[in-house]
Amino acid sequence: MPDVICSASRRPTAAAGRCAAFVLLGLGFRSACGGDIFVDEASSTGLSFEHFNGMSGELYFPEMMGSGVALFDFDNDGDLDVYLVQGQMLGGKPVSAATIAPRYPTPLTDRLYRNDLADGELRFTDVTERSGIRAPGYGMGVAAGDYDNDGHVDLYVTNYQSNQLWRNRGDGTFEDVTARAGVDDPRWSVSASWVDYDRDGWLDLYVGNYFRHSIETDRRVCRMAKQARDYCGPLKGAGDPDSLFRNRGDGTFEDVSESSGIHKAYGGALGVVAADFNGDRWPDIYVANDGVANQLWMNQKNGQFLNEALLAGAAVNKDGMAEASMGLDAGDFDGDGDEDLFMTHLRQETNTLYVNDGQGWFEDESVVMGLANPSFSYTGFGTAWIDYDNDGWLDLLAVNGAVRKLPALVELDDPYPLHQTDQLFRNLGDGSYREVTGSAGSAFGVSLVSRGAAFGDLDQDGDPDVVVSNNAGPARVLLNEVGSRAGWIGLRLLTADGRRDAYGARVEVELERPLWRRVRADGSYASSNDPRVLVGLGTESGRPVTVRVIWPDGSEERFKGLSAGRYHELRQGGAR
Amino acid sequence: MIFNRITRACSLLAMLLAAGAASGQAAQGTAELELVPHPDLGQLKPEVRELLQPAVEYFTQQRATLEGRALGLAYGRMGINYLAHEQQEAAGACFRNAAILDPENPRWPYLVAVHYEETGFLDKAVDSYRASLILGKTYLPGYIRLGRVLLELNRLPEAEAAFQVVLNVDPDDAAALAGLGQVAFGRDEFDKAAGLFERALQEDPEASSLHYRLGLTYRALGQADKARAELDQAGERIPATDDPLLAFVRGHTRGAAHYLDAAAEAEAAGNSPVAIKLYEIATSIEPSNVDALLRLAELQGAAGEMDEAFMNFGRVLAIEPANARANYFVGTELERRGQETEARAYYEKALETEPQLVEPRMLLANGLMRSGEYELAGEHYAQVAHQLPGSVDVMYLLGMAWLAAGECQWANPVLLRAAGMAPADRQIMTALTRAYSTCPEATPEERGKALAAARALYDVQPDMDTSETLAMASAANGEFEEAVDAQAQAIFEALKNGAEDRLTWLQENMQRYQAQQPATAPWSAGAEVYRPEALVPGPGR
Repeated sequence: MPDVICSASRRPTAAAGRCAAFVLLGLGFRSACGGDIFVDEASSTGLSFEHFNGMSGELYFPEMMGSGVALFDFDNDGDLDVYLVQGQMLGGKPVSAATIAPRYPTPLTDRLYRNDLADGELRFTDVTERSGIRAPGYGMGVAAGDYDNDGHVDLYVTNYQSNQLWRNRGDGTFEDVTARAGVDDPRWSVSASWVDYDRDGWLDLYVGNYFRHSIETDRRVCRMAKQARDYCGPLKGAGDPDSLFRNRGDGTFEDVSESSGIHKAYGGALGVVAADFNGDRWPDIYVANDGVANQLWMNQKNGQFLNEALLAGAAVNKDGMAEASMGLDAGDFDGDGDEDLFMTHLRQETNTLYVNDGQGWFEDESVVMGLANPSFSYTGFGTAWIDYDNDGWLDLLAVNGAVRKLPALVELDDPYPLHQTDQLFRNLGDGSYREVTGSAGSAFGVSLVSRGAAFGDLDQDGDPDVVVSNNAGPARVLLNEVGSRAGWIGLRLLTADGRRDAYGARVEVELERPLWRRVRADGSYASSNDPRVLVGLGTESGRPVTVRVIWPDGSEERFKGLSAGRYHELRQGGAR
Repeated sequence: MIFNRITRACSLLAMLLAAGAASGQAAQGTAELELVPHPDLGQLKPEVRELLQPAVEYFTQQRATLEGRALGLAYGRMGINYLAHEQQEAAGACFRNAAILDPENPRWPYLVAVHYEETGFLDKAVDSYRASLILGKTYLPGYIRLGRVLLELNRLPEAEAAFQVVLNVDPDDAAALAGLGQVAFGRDEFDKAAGLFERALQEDPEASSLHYRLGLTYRALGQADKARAELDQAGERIPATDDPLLAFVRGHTRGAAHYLDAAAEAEAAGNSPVAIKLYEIATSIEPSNVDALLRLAELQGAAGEMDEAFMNFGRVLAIEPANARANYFVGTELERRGQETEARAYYEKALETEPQLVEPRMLLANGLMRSGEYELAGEHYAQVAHQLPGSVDVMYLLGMAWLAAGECQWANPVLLRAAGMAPADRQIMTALTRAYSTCPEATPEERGKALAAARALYDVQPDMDTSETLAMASAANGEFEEAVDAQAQAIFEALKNGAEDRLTWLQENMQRYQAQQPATAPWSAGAEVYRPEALVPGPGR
């Protein structure tokens, strides 16, 4: 039992090396690495990103909100590259005024790391300069998607002020096409989602806007119960409406926020996820708002959306209270074929699980599922449903970090007293979750101000890994050490022309207990996930499987005889 | 000396208070107490520091001198201040210590539970709420809070039981109805849930969160239009629950001055119960405010809340050992409890500080009379008589003190003056008559007046006392035959009335009269007439 985890690892990672050393030395193996589900390999793989939030003692509200991370294959070499969003100085102050000096030369910019995976060995190379990316905004989040269907994944970067659309030229470089495309949004945006809401074959863009805010005019001075100054939260009633940009298919977008109905509701959006919540095969959009009722934009199939969150039971928690929603995910955690919702919340609220009844009506089942109490002391941000142990049940990972100073850390004179540890919850398959953070490994004992988290199979070993972006801290690469022990199958679903990931496509893996998954990059917090579908097969891992795909245009297709233990590309119309 | 007195006072108070509790358990030792992680006041917001500082200082001072339940109360008060200002860690430790030291007080486990609930330890909150409700079974808000936490934990049968307790007492309690509605909803009993939510809304129409629950219930029943109508009205206000203890805690977020003003207003409006509550909050925020503590204690005393008053006067003495009003009150309370010697010590202490006070001097003198220290009592009565020259009662008692002390030459003019002030007072007239009849310094004229008065008294009411007085006066005037007859009647009345304790004295005088001798004292030594009544336990006891 003790050495299975390490010996099962097929690549000579640093962690595996450490384990081997412990075994050779006859040291206590279990305590050294036997229990680790995830191992932080950021430094050993060369991803040495350090987020700079520009804090200078002024406690500007935006400085503790960022930032996100994207996992996407920018160079089409089949593995996931990493884009990390960077902060700047705020309030016109010079970098020299920063409490923590940046580790990069100015001007600061977001950074792109190329994955040079070879022979199972993960290695990242910083290719920011040569990529041409110059992101001078105060970065918040990122959404990856091939908006021009040219087969190269582009990036939409959300900022504290103007956003940027970076078009991937396909030669390793990007160009800023924000103005040409017409997708700039000068407001404070955090999360965005690429979604083909009108099913015309072109990815449209939903941009979640947070609150109206200005460093110059927000003169509030907030304090904790202690004398020390503290960060202020959002101004009441200052929520901004979100934006919806329709892709014209010619490289430009039309702002349809008004005509689509999106402007009818104000929020304070921090998380966005698109999925078909009522089973009508049209993508709907769920928006997690900070302290304001969440929105469930039901697609009316005519270019318009209607916010049905309240009746759907997903606007506020079961007590009727609006919560400070941050990150979120949609997924079929209970295996009944519909998209449920999970979102992270502020400390002293709880994370919330809304269970879908199949018609798009939800019930807050956080308590019953065992997810309420363990999250009470944490402020959650990035999150996702992942099957970390590939047992066929979707588990949950939430990264945490407070937004108001934590008294216990203030007592310790901590210079940035917002940090918390992250959490892992295992789906027990009986309708409940159990927190397994304690056995998740030493990586989960590290306390940081975590914000964005992107999920995907970085090392192509068939289990989900995580990249976590930490505010004013180092990015972390949490490699999954256990999932590859179980059976799995990976699917990349492509549009009919084979160029683009079919965002929104649904996959049913036809097993005795059908498993439903979705092609998605959105969700979490300010981040963009691996769009590939990774399915843990649990005990049914030996034989080839059949999958049924519901494509974004509503059509269905079945793919048979797919062998386990590897990735497959499934092109719409390509079933034999 | 002062320290000894403080210690003695505190120990005594603690002992009395502990004895007053129906405790079957001894308070546990301080060894089990946990260290309170007091926050650094210097790091607190100025307005919070200003509110917390007096409480912390007071607590620190008390921590060194108190023990047992009194220390538990001090921990509890400190915890309340911390909880009000969201210093959860310190509050929790204080409440846990209070619960150890004051184990029969339901408020400490209740506040421990609130602390656990607010910090997310729901299982522990359940245990503590239950512990509290075992001690205070009738505190209904506790069942509501317990039920809500149990709902959070999805322990539906237990939540149902908690809410049902409230409904058994008040079938229309909106919070309990709503709680049961949630239980029913959790069991997919949607019709039942709808009925309960509707009733709850009827009882508390302002509880807008119930519209949300009702909306979801209608939705579950397939009544989408009704659901939408309810959801459109949904808000965040939950059914109101009157929780006096938590209101008391929340009150600590405002300064003491606010509550002192409000208390004064309540007093001015004649609303003592409200004034007491407000003073309680004020003195909990500012525990060393002696004036507020005194006023609180006095109001409690006047309201018959003697234990509470006693405790608060004790708090005053812990701060100002020489405080006259507190010493006086504690003296009275000890006297009521039959602890005469200790009571006199407190009266003396009060008089040391404020010699002009009449009440403690009177009570001290009365106590001295009861203990047979007549001469000293007489000196105190004399001082009071000087302060209250028009008081017949004081004059009478002074006279009696001198009589008891065998100083009839001083007693006679005093009693004569008293009789002049209240000519129809039979008690004074009897005392004067007997004084004239037995005092060697009495003149024949005085003795003659005594006989006339004795006859008049007897004629109005011929009983044992008037017979004895007549016998005494007759003998003093050489009328021994009449004296013997009257004394015989007095003995007969004593036998008839069962006053056997008087017989010896009566028979001794009878022998004197038969031997042609007058009586030598107006009453026997230690007679009841020399023992002014002690204070009796008040209505609150």
